[in-house]
Amino acid sequence: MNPYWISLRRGFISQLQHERADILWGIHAFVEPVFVAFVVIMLYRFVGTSSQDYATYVVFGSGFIGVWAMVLSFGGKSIFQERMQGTLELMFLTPVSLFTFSFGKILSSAATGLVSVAAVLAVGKFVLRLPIHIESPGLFLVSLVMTIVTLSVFGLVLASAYMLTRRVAYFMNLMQYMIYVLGGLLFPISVLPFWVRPISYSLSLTWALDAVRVSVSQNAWESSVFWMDAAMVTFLTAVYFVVAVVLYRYIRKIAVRDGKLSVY
Amino acid sequence: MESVIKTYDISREYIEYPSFFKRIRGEGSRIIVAVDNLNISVHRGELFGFLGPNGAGKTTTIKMLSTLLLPTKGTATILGNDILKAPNEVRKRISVVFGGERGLYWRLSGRDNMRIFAELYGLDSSERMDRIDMLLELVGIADRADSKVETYSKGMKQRLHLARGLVHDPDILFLDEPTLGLDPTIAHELRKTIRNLCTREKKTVFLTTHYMFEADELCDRVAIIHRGTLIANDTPENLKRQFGTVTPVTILLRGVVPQVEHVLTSRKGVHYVESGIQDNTTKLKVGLDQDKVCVEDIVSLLEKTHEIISVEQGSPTLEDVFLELTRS
Repeated sequence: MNPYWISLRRGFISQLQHERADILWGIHAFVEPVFVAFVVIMLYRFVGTSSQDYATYVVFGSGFIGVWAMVLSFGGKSIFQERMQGTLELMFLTPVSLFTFSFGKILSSAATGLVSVAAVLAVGKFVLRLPIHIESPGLFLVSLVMTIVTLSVFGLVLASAYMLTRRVAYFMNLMQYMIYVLGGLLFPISVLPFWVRPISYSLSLTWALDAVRVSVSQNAWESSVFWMDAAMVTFLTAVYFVVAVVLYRYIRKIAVRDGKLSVY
Repeated sequence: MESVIKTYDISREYIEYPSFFKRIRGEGSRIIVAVDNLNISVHRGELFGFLGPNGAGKTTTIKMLSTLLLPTKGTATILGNDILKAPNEVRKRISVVFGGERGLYWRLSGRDNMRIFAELYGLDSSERMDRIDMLLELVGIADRADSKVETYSKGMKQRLHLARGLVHDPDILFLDEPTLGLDPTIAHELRKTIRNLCTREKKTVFLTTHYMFEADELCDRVAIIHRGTLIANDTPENLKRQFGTVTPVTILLRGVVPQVEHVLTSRKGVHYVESGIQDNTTKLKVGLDQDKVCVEDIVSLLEKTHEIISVEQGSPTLEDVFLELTRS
């Protein structure tokens, strides 16, 4: 069997096993996104926005907050965690790629995070009676997969970057809220100051979530916005991937040079 | 005899800076030599002990030999493969088992821990299950294989470490203080398993330990490293013969006698004095160079002021050799 496939698969399964054993998983996956959805609805209602306008922001924004929390908490710090546990050196000695192993772990976290989207969708539709109807189910699924993959690749960049610092918790908190705002999860990025928007546009999540919302609200097959979103997600994901590979190779090199595979 | 591990002037230095800003400016650096021009060779099937005090360079050496750390000078070959030129070939044929409780997935079962590494080393599914069962049986934790590692005792974790290290059937095992912190019974069992790895499974074992009796009992040959430099390399018997010029003498004194060692340490021929108090007696362990001072001299000196219960003269142990070499 291909060693890349072995490590990807094993990373995916290991992460599932770890998540199953962690009670925080339930909080990230269900409690946090549903709670956020309630808060955001109250805010939108307070300012008098119609539910037609905010429904997709609330449901998919809150849902993907859950996915993002999973990527950040379980996937993104996976390499750092391996180092803390003392398993990173042992992983390093195996003949497979640590990079694909980590990617498998992050992909697993992001994929299981989809239960957050499902939970908020169900609560939004059946409890809060939000007007949600998926107009293009096929492209909706495509956009979900696209979002999961791009978030995972972004998580891989973070996972490598976290190896350079010991203050992972601090950066995790910072990243969590920054992405809520900059990625336009809960409101359109058009409300952000003009100078902030380039940062938002450099985040593939911004485009991916737009694709999700377009596939829900209109016939996405005929929407140029959807295809533009898809193209941007593909391009930015490729850029993130290259950054992750370069960063990972650099970290691997300095870790062996400085003997820091087990230092944390 | 075929050498499966051979080092060529392998060295490792670290540069230390007092602060981040001085590091950027390259000021105030201090070079710490962890391993200095080390030359050793280990034969196939041998149980080789690598001894030294804390910070002597044992773990650094293991990390360099296992490709986890780059040497700053020199190199080594493992089964004929250069650690710098063919690290991937080296990794496939070795295993590293660190002592302590790190290096395991605590939230997973012992079997799941094994499964992860078996898969990553490319064992196919049928071979994998049989091998995992066999190894868990070998190290004696088969009955708890499906419990989470966080519920294991220290000894069980260490045995799981060993089983994990054997999962891909490596030719060479690097064991870094595998019995650290284990109770005597468990440590004894583990030592038996390690010995069997060499005699029955024909593995080469490179072992670091702080326990001299362990090295004496287990190892075919030992090397002693001190402040990064190799200071001895031979069989335990030869080392005792060669360097065991100091005779350990145990003297029991009645009563609690504080600071008695000061009376002896200044005397010529007394290499070391260790004292301990137990049940209203003071136990002295004195290392004597019998060419310069005899036991009777020491006894008569102590008799003047203290009541002696017993005097026991031993033969030099590896620990005496170690103390002698590392003290000088």
